[in-house]
Amino acid sequence: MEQGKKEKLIALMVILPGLIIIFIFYYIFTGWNFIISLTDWEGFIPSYNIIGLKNYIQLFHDSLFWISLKNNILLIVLFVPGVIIIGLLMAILLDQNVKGEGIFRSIYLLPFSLSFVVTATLWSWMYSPRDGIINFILQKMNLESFQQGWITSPQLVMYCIIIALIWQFAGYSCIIFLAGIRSIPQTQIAAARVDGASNITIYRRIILPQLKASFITSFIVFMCFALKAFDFIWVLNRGGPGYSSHILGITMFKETFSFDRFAYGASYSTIILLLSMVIVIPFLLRIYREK
Amino acid sequence: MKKIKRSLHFFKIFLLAAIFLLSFAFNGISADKEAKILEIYHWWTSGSEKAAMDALIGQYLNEYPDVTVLESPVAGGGGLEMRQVMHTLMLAGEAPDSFQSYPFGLIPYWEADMLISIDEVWTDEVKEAVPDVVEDMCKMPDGHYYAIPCGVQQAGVFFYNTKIFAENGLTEPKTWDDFWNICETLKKKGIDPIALGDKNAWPLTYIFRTLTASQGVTYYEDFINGKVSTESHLQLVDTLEKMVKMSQYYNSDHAALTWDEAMGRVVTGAAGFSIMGDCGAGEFIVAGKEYPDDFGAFYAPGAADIFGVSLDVFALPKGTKHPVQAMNWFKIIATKEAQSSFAGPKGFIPARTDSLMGEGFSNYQKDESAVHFKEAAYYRPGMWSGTPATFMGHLQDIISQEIGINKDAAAAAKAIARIVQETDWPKQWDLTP
Repeated sequence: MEQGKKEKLIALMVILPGLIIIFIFYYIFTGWNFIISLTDWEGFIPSYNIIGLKNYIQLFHDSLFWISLKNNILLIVLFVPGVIIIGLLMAILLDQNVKGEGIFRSIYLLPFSLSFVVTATLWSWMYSPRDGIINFILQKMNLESFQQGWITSPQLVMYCIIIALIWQFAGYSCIIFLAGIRSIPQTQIAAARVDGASNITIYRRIILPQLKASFITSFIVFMCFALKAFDFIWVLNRGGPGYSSHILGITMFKETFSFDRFAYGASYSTIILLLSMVIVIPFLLRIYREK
Repeated sequence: MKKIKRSLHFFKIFLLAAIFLLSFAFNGISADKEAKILEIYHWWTSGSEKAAMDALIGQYLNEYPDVTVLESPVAGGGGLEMRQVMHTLMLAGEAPDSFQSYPFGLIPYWEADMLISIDEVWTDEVKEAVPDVVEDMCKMPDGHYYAIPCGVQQAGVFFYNTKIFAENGLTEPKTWDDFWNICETLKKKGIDPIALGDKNAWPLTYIFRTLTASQGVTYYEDFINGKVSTESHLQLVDTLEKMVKMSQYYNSDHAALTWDEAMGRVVTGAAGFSIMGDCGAGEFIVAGKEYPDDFGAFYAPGAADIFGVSLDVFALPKGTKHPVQAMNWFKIIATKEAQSSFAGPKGFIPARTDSLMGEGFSNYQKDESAVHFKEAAYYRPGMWSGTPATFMGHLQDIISQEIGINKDAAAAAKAIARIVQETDWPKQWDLTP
């Protein structure tokens, strides 16, 4: 065998286990999930008949699906720009040659390194209407009229979740933007300064336009997270009160594992996958085109 | 060429290492089968629950001291979390030797042929010692026994603060008019009439279950048999309207409290009463309160002659690694000594009526719960113990959304009627022999 062919064979052998695992656990199971969504599988026994798109038709007539989708959209619309803007501002602040930058970076990144179980529990304490720190502070500031039920209020709960998630992800967003800012050649900034450009002009004309890749990366990452979000809300309040903070992931989980409606739950999963693909595919196409 | 040889060499080493590790794993599995181990999953994690479980395991270890008992407590949600854990384990073929469940929570496993019948545990002596309803609850639709109860918890008790009642000239209500009068009197005095803690959603559904029983045993039987399937059903609508009316008497922060925190309000006199199972009494006892001097118990008007039986049972899954130890575990649970040792600290009453209720039992257990258990005209299975878990999950969502948030009895009735129609009802109860 020729050396080139042998090297290719070895390379194939090395990547084959990974390929097989990805193929089985991602593509096969995703396909299997879609097939299940076309069946009538309910209950613990995996026995089912193909019923076509009935689950999807039922899903589109299910008010809980629309409530969940609406909450998901609200999460995307407020969380994604929120975390990007705050992350960017934090990155700009860190870029001002502050003393102890490493310490600040670690502090900002710390919430992201914590598990959702931990952060959701922390926030549920803080939001507690009776003995939570937020209402306590409002009381100490004589602002009792601003005290709220927070996560027990159907009107406020989604906003409370969004604020907590922005807090958790802002550090990660900051790191993405800081890396982007640091990758811009200093010569460009120095040249602008020589030309008399102010700091605002430098950011507006030089730095921000070159952060396109950071914006796109953050947008995709946070958008996908917002679509798939589950654990934080589940730990915080199980999607309550009532259906007030049900998002697609929560409803999918409950339909599948609490109500044993495996086929119906699978149709929710497929919808979440399709929504994610709508976001990711144009992004991938753009990258390929740029290359 | 050298590079290729080196790569192949590494590949061979990797393969050998994998085979070596796998051989250990298989060796571990075969060794595990012979080990004297009993692996149990349950959801009892609080102080009193742990004490009760320790007592029960102590009884087992007295008989089988050479067995190692591996406990896996799964905290949270009255067993809702554990249900999901067990689903995963059962589907993965990694079932433990025994696991806790509500009797009806076993139905999906039974339908999937994942349970082993434990008829041999249900000897004539055991059958003789437990009430028919308890025996019936441990059977699956095929008529065989698949579960053994650790004790009985009474469902649907209104625990009240006797001092608050006395100070306001109130007595235990006999009619709904009496009941609303109590609520109104306490509200006017600035005391929360009903303490509710529905942070985890289910306590609100718990009130629905209690009020359903107050409509009479025939209606309750129809409800748990899936026969209340129209949204205009008078008793269903009445139950839901009572719930909406009740909502004006709850503490305003009910959605932020757990059930035990709400009961704590009654203990301290910040609220008049709270609705819970026998475990509610535990909150008073832990606070050093005595029955009947400091706290009392009454039942919903219309439900005084009905005892709500809530059972926590253990079952035997197929594919268990230590079936001998598991069967011995069930036989120990079925003894009157084990029933007494568990029920005392847990706040239950023993499922066996011939068990002694000695020093480990409170006055409440002996003088209220056990007396009601003995004297009740009817026994009803608690809803979690008597209806499919999926139905209860949906019911909880509906009550939480339509009653808890929207206060809309008609919408709740419509949604309940729909899920009743959509649910398969594998078992028919006969509560009025």
